[in-house]
Amino acid sequence: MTAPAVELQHITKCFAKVVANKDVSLTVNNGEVVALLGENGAGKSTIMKILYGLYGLDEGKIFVRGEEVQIKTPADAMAKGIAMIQQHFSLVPTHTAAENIILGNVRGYIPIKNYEQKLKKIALEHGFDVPMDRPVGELAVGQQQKIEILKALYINTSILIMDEPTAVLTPQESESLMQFIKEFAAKGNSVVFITHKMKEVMEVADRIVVMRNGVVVAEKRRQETTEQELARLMIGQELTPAVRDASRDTTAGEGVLQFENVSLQPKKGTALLNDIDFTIHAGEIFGIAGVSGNGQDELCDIISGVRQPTSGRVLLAGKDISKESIRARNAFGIGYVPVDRYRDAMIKDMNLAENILLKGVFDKKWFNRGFIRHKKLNAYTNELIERHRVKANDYNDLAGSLSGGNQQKIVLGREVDIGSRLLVFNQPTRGLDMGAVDRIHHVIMEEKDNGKAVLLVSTELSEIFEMCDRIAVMHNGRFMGIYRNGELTTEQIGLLMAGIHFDGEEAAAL
Amino acid sequence: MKKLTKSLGSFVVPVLSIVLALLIGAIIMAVLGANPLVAMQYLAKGAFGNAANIGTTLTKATPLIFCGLCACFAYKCGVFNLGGEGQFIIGSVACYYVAYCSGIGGVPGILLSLLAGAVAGGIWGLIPGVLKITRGQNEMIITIMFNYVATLFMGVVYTNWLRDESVPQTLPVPDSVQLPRVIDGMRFTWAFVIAIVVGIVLYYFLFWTSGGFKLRAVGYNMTASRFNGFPIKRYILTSFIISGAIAGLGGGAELLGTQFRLINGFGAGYGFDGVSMALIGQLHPIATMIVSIFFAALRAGSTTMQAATGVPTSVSDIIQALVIVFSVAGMALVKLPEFEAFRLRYFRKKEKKEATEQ
Repeated sequence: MTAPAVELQHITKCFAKVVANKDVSLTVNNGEVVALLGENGAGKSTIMKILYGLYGLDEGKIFVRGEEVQIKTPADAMAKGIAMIQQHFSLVPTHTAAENIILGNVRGYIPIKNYEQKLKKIALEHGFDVPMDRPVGELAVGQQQKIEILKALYINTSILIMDEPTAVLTPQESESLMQFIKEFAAKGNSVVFITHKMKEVMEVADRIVVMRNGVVVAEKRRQETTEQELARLMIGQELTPAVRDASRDTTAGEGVLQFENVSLQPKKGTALLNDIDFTIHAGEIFGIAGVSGNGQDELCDIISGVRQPTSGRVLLAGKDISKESIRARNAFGIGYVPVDRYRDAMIKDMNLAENILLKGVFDKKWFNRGFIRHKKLNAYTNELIERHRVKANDYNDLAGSLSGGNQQKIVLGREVDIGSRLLVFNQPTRGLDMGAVDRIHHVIMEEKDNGKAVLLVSTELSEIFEMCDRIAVMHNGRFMGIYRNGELTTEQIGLLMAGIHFDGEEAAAL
Repeated sequence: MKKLTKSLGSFVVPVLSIVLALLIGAIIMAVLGANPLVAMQYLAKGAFGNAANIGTTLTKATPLIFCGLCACFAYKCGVFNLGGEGQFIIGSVACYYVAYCSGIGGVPGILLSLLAGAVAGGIWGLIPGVLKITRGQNEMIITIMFNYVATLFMGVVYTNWLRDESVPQTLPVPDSVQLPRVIDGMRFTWAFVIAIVVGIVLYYFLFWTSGGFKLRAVGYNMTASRFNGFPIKRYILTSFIISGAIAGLGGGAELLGTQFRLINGFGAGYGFDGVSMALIGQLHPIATMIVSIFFAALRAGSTTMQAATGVPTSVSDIIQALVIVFSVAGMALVKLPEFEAFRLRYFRKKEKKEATEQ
């Protein structure tokens, strides 16, 4: 047997505060697809960044094709045929695809047309159809990823590392990526891909390495394991997913939030929202599926009052709130968890109690003749910490010192208490670990059962299917249709997300 | 552990900076041929040795406190007001005009003059604020430029409009509107008391009331504040006005309490001194006041030191400058990841030791 493509032996890496990797050993064989599975902060990205030369290692050895090597910079890694595609692409948006691919690998005079020809050939060999002469900033995310892959192929990579490659793709784009991975590996190359999505793992990986808290907890061949087992290994405990009662007709409840032909048309360019029309009922979770950046953020902003629609009306319990201020809307009982909590929902330099007060500052109950009632506020914050199982010492912790999941729980707890009628969640579980996701899903379900109307924007179809009673698919600021959960298959939603109406039986739009 | 970091930042760093600065100051004194211990003793004596000296120190501290609070408040609210000096000067000019020309004497006259100073300072702060929120101008540059405008405007006042005959200065304000001393035999006046009251009010406002909370929230994170329905532009303007008014009030108080007349060099340097006071005081109003008094002590004591030991007063300036350098560097240091790693390693060792000992 030939030497494995990559062998990592007893790698340990510490950052200032934490041990990111502890005694991690990992082998990748030629022609093999290895999935690195684990929650956020499990150390998956770190170990791969060590292999790619982005981080130095504290202890351990790296072997590439049987030879011990020192990888100090990405250039060293590339020379060994190792390439890594980062979660956030490293492309220059104003450069063309061809320029991006050859960037860093050319000197002096650049006959760009020749390069374009050459690259087109490589692209076609792998079935990629990418325009070489257009700025990459104009291309879709899926296309940009292909350019990242081409960058790796151009330098004759035989060991390809991908960090969360499907996070930004539509199901169809993911599908073609999986296809590519399989073909690429079939040619004798190795692929490591980092993910926390079970479905992809089961589809494409030959071997699965599960990491938790910086150590490898299990290594399984795909045939020998199940999604349930992997999930348990990943989290270290059983989770009971929130269960939705699918039998109930949720549209029977009274309408809480109503959009009447709402559009948002900036002075220049295309409409961000185009003729949006829907109603969310009490006791209903209304999901909006779609690739991010298709108008979901704008829609949420319009509900919360951060933006004003250019036409149409927004009604809350039959009352027109289109012209109301954010403050008034809060008072009406709208809770809003925005997509970017760091920027929009909390202040990392203030303590947790003050972050609670951020939203309640217009509520008289926290004040006694203009003075903050610190005692009451702190007690409430402590109660909230306990209720939502936030990992924090007490109200006096700085919000910035908490992990993402715990920050989100605080924001969620605050908004849930304020939003007595309507809750708007914009990707509430984005980037969170499964424990936090589980907690948040349970809270959302509880609030729905309490009779609140819930709007849930998500880019994760599994979340949409798990949580929502009705689903709207958004593309380019339009609703592609509103469907009951269960009416659509993943493929159909995928097509709608890409802006294509599927043929066949017309689904009854509600 | 986290609390320790907090206290490291807000307490240990300033104290350590002062100790280090004094140490280096002592070395310089020794190099100059004086006994540092004796020199330090005279420095302390000059500042706090007797009632009269304490009075002088507090008098010198008063404008520092006002300008320090002006900067402290502005920065706490995310507004980078470097125009404390301009606001201070404009405040004193307005105060002088009312005190000199209105003819109202006694307590009403004093209050009216001080009010005029605060209002003028507030307006002087408002203008850069308006430029910032309507035109997106950088408030640091505008406020610095406004310092020059204010200084030159005061120049016009004391060389032309209200000139005292042949001398380029104004006449002193009438006796009836001069701020009286609090205690006989000590130089400091009610201006100092006003400064302390302003500082305490500011502390309660910033940390205990809804208004202060909102202004701080806007300073920390404007988008989050906007998402929660705060009218942020109005709050930013409010921060400009209040911080300007504090400096303006300080200008008025300095005029009625100490200087009595507008003259070349009036108020020069206080604006940036105030920024230093606020930064060393970790943007805490009470700490800012304490730091101001300490700096005033260094200034007041240096004359006595020079007279008694021959160590020039500039050594005191060096010490002051070093305090600023050390505390700014120290604050940056505790934020470095390397420092954090070192601290953790140190404490972990200690914990381990304790654990094994048990």
